Amino acid sequence: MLLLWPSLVGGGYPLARDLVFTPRPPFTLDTLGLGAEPPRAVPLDAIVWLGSWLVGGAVLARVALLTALLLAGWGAHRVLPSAPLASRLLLGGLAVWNPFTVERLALGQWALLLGYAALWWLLPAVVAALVRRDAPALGRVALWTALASVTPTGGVAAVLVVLVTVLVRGRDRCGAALVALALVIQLPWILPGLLGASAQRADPDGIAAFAARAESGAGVFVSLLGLGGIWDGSSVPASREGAVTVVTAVLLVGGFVALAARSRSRRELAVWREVLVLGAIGLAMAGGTSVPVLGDGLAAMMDLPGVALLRDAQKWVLLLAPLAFTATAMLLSPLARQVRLGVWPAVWVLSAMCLPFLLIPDGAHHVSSTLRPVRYPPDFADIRRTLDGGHDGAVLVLPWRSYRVFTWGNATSVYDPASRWFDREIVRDDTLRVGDLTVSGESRRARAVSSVARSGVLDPDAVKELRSAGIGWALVYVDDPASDDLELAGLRPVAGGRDVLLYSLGEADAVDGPGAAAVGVVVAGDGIVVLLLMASLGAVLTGRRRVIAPPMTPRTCYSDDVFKGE
Amino acid sequence: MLSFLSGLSLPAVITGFAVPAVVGVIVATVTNVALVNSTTGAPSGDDNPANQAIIVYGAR
Repeated sequence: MLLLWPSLVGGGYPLARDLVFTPRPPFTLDTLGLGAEPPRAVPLDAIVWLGSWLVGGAVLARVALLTALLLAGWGAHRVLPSAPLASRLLLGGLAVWNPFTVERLALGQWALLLGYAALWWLLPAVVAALVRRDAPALGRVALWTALASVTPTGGVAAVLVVLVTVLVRGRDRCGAALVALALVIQLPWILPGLLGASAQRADPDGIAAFAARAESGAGVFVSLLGLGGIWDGSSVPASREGAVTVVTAVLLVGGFVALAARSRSRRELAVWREVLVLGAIGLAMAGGTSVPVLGDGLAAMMDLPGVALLRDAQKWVLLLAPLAFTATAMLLSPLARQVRLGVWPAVWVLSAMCLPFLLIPDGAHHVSSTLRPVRYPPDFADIRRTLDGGHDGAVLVLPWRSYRVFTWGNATSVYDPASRWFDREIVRDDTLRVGDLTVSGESRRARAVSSVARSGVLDPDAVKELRSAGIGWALVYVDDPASDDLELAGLRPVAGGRDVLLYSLGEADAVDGPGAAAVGVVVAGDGIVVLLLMASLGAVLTGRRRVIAPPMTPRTCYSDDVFKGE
Repeated sequence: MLSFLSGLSLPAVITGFAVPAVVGVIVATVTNVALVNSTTGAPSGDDNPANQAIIVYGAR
């Protein structure tokens, strides 16, 4: 609640950095991942569409943000069922309040945090499935994998969690079934990634632009060991720029050493081998692009499908998080066992809660500028009504840039919300500027019209060219200072007002879409996953009804019957 | 219910969870209202980042 405070107390919609919510996002080819851009938000867009349709985007935003953090804290404390309360609370606190969540929240990447939170539940679920080998246990694995896989990054992380757990303790048919299950759940983004209209080659410069960043003079790997090191300096709290980075890393490494040295710690953390392997993989993936040879090698392989997923390297420290936080939390265990506080465990609770806060005291303040909701100008709703009743054609967004800063919004750059408002294909500049670096986008449609759009001159010849490219509308953000340089002579706004204007370019020519076969394959893949998840949910619910169990506590849930059954 | 789910006694739940939760909410309220209100509102005029010629996704 402390982290999410601005979004919980203010009205409106979160709109900053990558955090974009609108009242009713449309369902388009982009939602399926078959638009002009790579399926980076698949199946997330479909889930947001469904959730917004049910409860509205404003409510969904709050629920989604809160759910991600609560699930992380709740799931984390269950991983140490036999540890003292203080250690479990510290673990829950660290899982929520740490450099990774704060920095990614500041960047607005809530879906990545949802995937991170699901991993805390997925790992024990896989272990339980390998022991129990029944339908409800398999169903839980499917459901947690699906939650983690709302984005491709979370999906890859989930597959790695399942794969590593199976390799460590269950190399048999059940293990193979679990890996296959996790892979099938990735179909919603794998299929459009292979069949979509976006360019297959991502810009190799993205590797350097999005490589992990040193947050202090101690270097990149020290930042990564402390679960920080995000590529964007403006997402890093000021408190992380100094010695705290080193202190955090030392604390976490101390936890690793203690875990390795103390057999009791390893007994308390039944999945210590899994988290150790996952941590090593996560650290290697996060820091790999910062090593010149590896970074250059990866840049040369950007033609290969899926390699672009690796370019924002620091996000893979989410695989290191279980090892780092459990090991650190267990440092408190010996002390908590020796010092008895009678009926006042609140002392331990407060102490355990304070440590994460002390490591990033400005965490809440830092993310507030991203989370503070804004109210959209009425122009958006007006334009949506016009487009809904208007002629065919995609919408070209001007001035030609990818991220924007609105005078009516937060004082931070934000992803263009047009695609989340209007039921049309939105053609926008997808070039990313990271400081002085420029990373080319992958939309073929944007590339086709970029010269006209960048010039800002929509004379009759330019309009004709745009219409032949399937573009029938131009959307202009009036508050953008570059809008003064646009030349729209002869065009008359048909909707909007002071902040956003919509111009009609006339009926656009039809352009080739992804094709019925590609749509059919993707929809079939989505259907398989939906059916699989419904069956999994049914198995879990049926299994819960059949079991007449003693009261469920963290100890009986995840310790005695599961971890000792290996 | 929390007592039932966690397996702890009711006094332990009250002293271990409820009291810290209330304290936490009070602390959160005071600190965040102060922090957030101190920065609320987009800057105006030339200070407004929306008036920048180049808008970046982020900066290394």
